[in-house]
Amino acid sequence: MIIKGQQVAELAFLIIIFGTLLYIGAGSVFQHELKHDKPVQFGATDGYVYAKVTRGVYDLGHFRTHPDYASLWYNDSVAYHPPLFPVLAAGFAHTSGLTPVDSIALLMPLFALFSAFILYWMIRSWNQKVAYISAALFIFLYINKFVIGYVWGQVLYYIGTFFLVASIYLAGKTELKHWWLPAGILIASIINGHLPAAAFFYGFVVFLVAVKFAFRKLTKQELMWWLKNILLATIVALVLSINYLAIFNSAYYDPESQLKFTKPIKPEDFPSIRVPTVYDLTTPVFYLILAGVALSFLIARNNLPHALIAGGFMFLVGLSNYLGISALFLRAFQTRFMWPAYIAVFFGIPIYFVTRKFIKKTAIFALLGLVIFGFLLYKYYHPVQSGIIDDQQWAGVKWVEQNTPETARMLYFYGDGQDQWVRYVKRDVHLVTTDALVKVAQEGKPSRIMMIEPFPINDARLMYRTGFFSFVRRAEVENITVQTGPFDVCGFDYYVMDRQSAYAPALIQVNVFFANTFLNHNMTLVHQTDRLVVLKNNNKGGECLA
Amino acid sequence: MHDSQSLKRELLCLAIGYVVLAVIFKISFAQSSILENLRVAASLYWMFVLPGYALSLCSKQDFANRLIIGIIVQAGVIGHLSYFAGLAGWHIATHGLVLPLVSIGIGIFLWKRSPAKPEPA
Repeated sequence: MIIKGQQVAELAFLIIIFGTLLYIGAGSVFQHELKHDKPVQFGATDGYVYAKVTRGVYDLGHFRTHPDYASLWYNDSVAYHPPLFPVLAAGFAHTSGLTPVDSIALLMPLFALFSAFILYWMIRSWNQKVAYISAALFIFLYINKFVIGYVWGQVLYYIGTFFLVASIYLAGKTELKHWWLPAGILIASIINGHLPAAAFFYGFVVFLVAVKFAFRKLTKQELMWWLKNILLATIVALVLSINYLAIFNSAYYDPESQLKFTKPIKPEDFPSIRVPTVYDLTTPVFYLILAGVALSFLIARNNLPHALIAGGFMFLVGLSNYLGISALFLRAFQTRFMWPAYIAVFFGIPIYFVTRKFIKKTAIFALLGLVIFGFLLYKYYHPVQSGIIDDQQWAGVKWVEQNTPETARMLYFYGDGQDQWVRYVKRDVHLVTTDALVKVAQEGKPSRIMMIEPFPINDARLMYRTGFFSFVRRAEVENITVQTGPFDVCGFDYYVMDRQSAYAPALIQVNVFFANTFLNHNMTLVHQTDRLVVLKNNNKGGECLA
Repeated sequence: MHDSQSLKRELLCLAIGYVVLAVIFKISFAQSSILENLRVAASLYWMFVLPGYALSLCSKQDFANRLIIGIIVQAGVIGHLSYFAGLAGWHIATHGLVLPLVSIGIGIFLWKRSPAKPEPA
C-alpha cells in the first residue's frame, strides 16, 4: 500500500476542502474557464497595474525595464515593482499557455490556497483533530470582505503572504541542517515579493523567541542558534535582494511618510475604509475565536505549538493599526485578508475541546470539519464578481489595439469602471477626470485645457539607472507630467467615448457633446458600436473645440 | 540516502498527486479542454513540485514535510533564477521549461552526496 487508511481519509478531506476553495474561488471568478480573451478577476486599479506589469515582462522577456509603451516611449524606465511575482507569472504564462493576466490572476489564489494549506499543516503537526476543524474556517477566504484582496488585485500581498507563511513554517523546522540557506532564500523571496512582509517575518522571530522566553521554554543555546542562523539567512537574503533594494530605495522609500505617527483607525472608521474585521467572520465565529485565544494560554503552559504562536502573531499584526504608525496602517489591514487561515487554529480549539469528550475517532473530526465547512459555505458564500470590463468595452479595447498605431496618443472620456482598467490598454492612454467633465456639464462650455490623468507606469517618475545605486527620476528632471494635470484636449491622436452608462448617464451626455464638437473640427469617426465611438484627430494640436 | 524502493514509492505518490491535481483543475475549470487543464497542472508540477521534490531529497524530513519545504523553496529559487536570468538577457519565454532542470540537477547532485536517510512516504 502506498498510503494507509488514515492517510486516505486525510487526503480525501484535503481534496474536498481545497478543491472546493479552488472551485468557488478562482473557478467561479474565471467562469470555470482557464483562458480568457479579456481580463477577469480584477475589479480595481492595483490588479490592472500588475496585469500590465506582468504583460510587460511577458513581452520584453525581463524585468529590468518597463516596456516603452508603458513608459511614454522611453525604453530605460527601471522596472521598480517587487520583481518576483510578475516574473513568476510571466514565466508561468509562457509555460502553461495562459495569457499573462490569466496567469497572475490564477497564481494569486493558488498562492493563497497553498499558504492556507501550510497553515493547516502547521496545526496538524500539533493536533490533527484541531486541524480538521480549523480548516473549515478557510471558507471565509471567499466570504464577506475577505474577498477584497482578490477583487482589488492585491497580488503582491498574496505572494508576500505565501513566502511569509512559508518562512514561518520553516521557523518551526529548526532541526533542518543548514537552516539558514532555505531561510535566506525565503526571506529574499519575501523582500523581492512584497517587502513589508519581511518586517513581519523578523517580527515573528522576535515574537517567537519572546513567547518561548515568557513561558520559560527558551534555552541559551536556542537563543544563540537563532542569532547565528538569522544573521546568516539575512546575509543570503541581502545578496539575493540587493538589486531590488537599491531600486526600492530610490523608487518608493520615504522614511518621513512611512514612520510618522498618525491617527489610529478605530472601529467606527471601518465602514468607510472597507477592510475586514473579526465581525466579517460572523459573530458566532468571532466568539469561538475569542474562546480559542483564551484556551491557547492554557495550552501554552504545557507546550508551545508553533501553529499557536504563528496564529497569535498574525492576529496581532492584523490589529496593529491601533498603534497609529502609518507604515502599519495599510499593511496591518492587508494581513486581515488571510485572517481566515491565520487564525483558523483559534476557531478549531474550542470546538475540539467540547467535542473530544464525545468523539474519539480522528476520522469523525474530519467529517465534523467538512460539515462545518459545508454549513458556512451554504449560509454565507456568494460568488465574487468576475472583473469589471464588460464585453462591449473590451471589444473597444481590442479595436484600439488592432487598428491604431502603436505610438498613438489616446484620450478616453468617461466610461463605467474605466478609471480602474483603462491603464491596461497597450497604448499611451489618458483619461479625462470625472471632476473635469462634471465642471463642463455645470458650466455648459468646454475648455481646451482640462484635468487629465495619464497612465504610464509612473510611481517612480520614469526613473532610469545611472549606476548600481544611483537613479534619476526623468519626469522630475525633464518636467514631464506623469500624474493628473492640465493637458490640451486637442493634443491627442484618438478619442474614445462611451455611449452608455449604468452609473452616470449625465456624463455620457458630456461625451456626446464633445464627440459632436470634435466631429466639426477635423476629426473623423473611425469606429462606432452601440457602446462607444472612436474618433481620429486629423489636426493634432490644432483647434478642436471653438 | 533513499533506497530505490522508497524513491519509486514517492515518485508514484507524485504521479498520483498530478492526476488528482489535474482532476481538481478539470472540475474547477470545466469549460476548458482536458488538454488545457493537463498543461496548467503539468506546468505547476514542472515549475514547482518536481524541482522542489528533487531539492529536498537530501533532507532527513519525512516525505510530506520534505515536499512542502521543497515546493516553497523552489518557488523562491525559480523566481530568483528567472529574475536574474532576465537581467542577464535571457528571454523569459523558456525559463519555465529550462530553469526547473537546474533545481532538479542541484537536488540530484546533493542527494547523491548526502548520507541522509529520509523517512519514506
